[in-house]
Amino acid sequence: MSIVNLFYTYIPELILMLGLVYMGFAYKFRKDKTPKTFYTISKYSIIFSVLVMMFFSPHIELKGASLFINSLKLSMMSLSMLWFFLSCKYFLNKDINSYRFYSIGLGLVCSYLFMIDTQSLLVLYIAIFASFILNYLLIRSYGEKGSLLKKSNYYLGFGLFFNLLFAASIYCFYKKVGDFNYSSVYDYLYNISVLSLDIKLAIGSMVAVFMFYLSLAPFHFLYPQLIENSRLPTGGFFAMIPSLAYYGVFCIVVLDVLFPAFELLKPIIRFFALFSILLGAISANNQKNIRTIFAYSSIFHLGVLVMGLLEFNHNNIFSSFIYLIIYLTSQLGIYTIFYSMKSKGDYINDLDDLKGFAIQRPYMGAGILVFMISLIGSPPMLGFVGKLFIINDLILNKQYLSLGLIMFSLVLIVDAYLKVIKVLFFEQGVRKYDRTESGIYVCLFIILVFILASIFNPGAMVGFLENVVLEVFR
Amino acid sequence: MDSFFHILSLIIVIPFFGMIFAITARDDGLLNKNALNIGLFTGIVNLILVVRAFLLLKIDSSEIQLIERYSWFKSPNIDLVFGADTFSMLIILALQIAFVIGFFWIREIKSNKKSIVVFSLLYLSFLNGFFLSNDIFSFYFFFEAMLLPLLMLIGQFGGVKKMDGVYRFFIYNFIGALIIFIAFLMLFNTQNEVFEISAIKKLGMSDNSEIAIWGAVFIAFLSRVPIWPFHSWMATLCANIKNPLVFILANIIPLTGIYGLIRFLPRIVPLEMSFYINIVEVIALITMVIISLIGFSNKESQYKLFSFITVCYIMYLLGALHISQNIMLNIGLSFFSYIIAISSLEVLMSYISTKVDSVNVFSDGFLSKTPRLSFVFISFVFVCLGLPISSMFFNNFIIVSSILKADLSFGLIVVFCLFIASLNILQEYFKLNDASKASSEFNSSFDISKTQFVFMLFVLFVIVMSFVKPFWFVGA
Repeated sequence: MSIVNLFYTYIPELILMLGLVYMGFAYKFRKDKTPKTFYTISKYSIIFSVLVMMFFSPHIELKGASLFINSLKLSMMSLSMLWFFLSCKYFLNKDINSYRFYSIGLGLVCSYLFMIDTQSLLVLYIAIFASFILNYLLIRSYGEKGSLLKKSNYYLGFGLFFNLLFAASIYCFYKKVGDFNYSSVYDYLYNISVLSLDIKLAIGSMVAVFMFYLSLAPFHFLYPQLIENSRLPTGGFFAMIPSLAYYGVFCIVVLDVLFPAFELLKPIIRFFALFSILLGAISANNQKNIRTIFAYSSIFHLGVLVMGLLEFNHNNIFSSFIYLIIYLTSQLGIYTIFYSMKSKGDYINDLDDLKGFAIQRPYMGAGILVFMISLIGSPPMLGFVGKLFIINDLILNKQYLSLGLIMFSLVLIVDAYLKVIKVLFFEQGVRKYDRTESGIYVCLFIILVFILASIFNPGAMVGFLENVVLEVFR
Repeated sequence: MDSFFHILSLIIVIPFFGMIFAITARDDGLLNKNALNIGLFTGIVNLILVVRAFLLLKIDSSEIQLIERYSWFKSPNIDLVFGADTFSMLIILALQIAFVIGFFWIREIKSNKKSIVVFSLLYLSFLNGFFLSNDIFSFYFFFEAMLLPLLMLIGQFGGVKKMDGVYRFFIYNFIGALIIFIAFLMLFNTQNEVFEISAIKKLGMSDNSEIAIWGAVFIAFLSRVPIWPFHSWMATLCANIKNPLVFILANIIPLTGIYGLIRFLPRIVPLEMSFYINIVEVIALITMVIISLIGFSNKESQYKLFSFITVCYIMYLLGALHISQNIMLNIGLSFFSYIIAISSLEVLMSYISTKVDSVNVFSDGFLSKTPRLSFVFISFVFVCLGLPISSMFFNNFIIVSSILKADLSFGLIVVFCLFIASLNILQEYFKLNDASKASSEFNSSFDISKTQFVFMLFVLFVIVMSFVKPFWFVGA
């Protein structure tokens, strides 16, 4: 790998790091700083990073420049930028310092980019560890309630344990292969006929670490607490961006490193996926907090997403990638609407306090309805396309038991969403909601246009994503 | 042959665009006439389009015509195919008329008209799509899609106090849609391309998968027909819905189930399924008897109408299970008058209920003081009774005859239930027309306006013409 290629590959990360340094200087030396100052720096860092990535991409002769990886990076940066934009409204309303949110957020995006771009297990480990520390700092900085700060210590403890596990796995591979490169480990696994116990443990541990970072059950315990109790910008960030990053890295690691031992991974993946699907669906039904309901429904959806990867063939990755993009779009829409659930300056989370919200704010109501229907994969919303591909894959692979469990859990999720619909639409409330900022309407409009346009011509989106996935198998 | 002018697609998308116009309509208070006018105008435009589509149809042909095909996905290869025959177009025509009746009569109701018009038009668009679908994929697409607008209509405007019924309605139908989704995907994977409904009978599958797929399709459609154990949500909802338009729309759901059965099952059902069909027939018959008797003993006018509607639907279901190509058109013609007649009766009953509630007295004798209303009311009652003034007369006779021919004892029970259900409607009419019990509060000002009277006379004219010359509007 030439230095020039290495430079071209990591130049988007470098730009983000420069943005971070600039933000630090602005925090230290600029006198008239507002929440918007740090948002603006983040925005331009990301835009510049995207432009550079698109400009240099054709000149890179590395796997890191593939369409799949570029799409992952592009989706992540676009999502981050939209979320940073919406979060700025929050910080302006509350008039609180946004420096830590934007600096940690930008740092996280940078570490995710490193994870996606790298072809070395050592760099991957360092990036994962960095992202873990940044996650912890973000929780500590913007946890709204005391209980979350306590829980953040658990996160630190469990996170350190899983990072150690990951380090041990990598060391195990290094001991056998003598190299950290993905391709070397892949060749080693490909060439040995029988996997030794330590290698099996190393592979299992690696997958478990990814499941932990994807917040799949039974490692989900902090996720709903985090979404419920943290401030909206932090909760929304954790609900969307890490899922995309860790999903991408998981796909890359399995395909580029662990694929020869994939048969060993299947039962582990199936266990985590089915457990998450059932637990997410059942738990979503017992909640009174709207953010917690969607946190548990996220666990369900992430379970479906991982279930879609069960065979790890072209069709599987294609289906789950479509599902992921649609899921994240709907999730972004839902969290955008959370910004409008505001009364007397306070953001409302309790379901009982949201009675009649959709009657007072019909456009927001229509939006949340579209996104919920999209999330359950019901036609005519875009989520239907994701459901179609995942279910079709399960039928083709004759996974009827898993299919039955997904269907059962889907009905439970629908029941949970019906409760939200009932409160928001069918019940009369006395609370007056604050005026929604025009920026939120604009953001909502963009997401709705994407969803509605894709319904009429899903072929365009699906065709593009299929090309992206084909690149992986090239 | 593909049609040159995509008229069927227009019939689906015009209500959708009407909905978008209604969303952007300016709010003008609780009597929001802007949105309502958009709804009414959209309904009328669609009605004209449906008549135009009828002109393009060969009425005496049982083939699916005016085929329109759109590529939705290249991989997997999914095309949306729309097409129509006389049977489906008759139902669509009746639905457009029922919508116009509903929109016309909710003018005076004080509620958020904008939302009701938006969701109604969305529902109409999906309904039209469902009845025009000619491939399993679009069939499922619209089968499930129509649930959301109906949920919102019933939940927001139905005035239903027990929300459990609304939940059950959505969950039952959602499960039905999921089942049909999986069954269709299994069918799809046998050929890896979406195929037209009529081609399903040519499929070769193993016995087990055949039974599993057909069983799933069967259950999914039955979940929409008010027979045990699926009747409970329907009874809870329809007996409690206060808004006439929502009542009309909710009562179209069983029609979608029966239509699905007619399209999929009888002529192409595998032999192994015949045993299960017999079981369904027995359950349907028991439900029919129970509902008709409950309707007879129940004093609520809404429940009596629901009882009549349910008994008729089950009769159509039994007819569908014995279907041959010959009686398919009879069912279509009977549906045509039936949908219009029950929609008209519902709006009139709702009108009476609103007026009576305003003076807080019983409704007995109301019709004796309102001659115009009394005339149109009894006329629609006569239509429902199956007297020789609508297409229900001759066609119900054919349907019942085919049931009698298949099984005499079954047929006799059906006739008995129809008799009781008709008595329910008559009983309600006599109660409303009993001058001796009429409240002194009632006077001629309670009568319907001349415009409303003329409108209902026109609706009556359409029904009567369906008896005189069923396809008079196309000159056939």
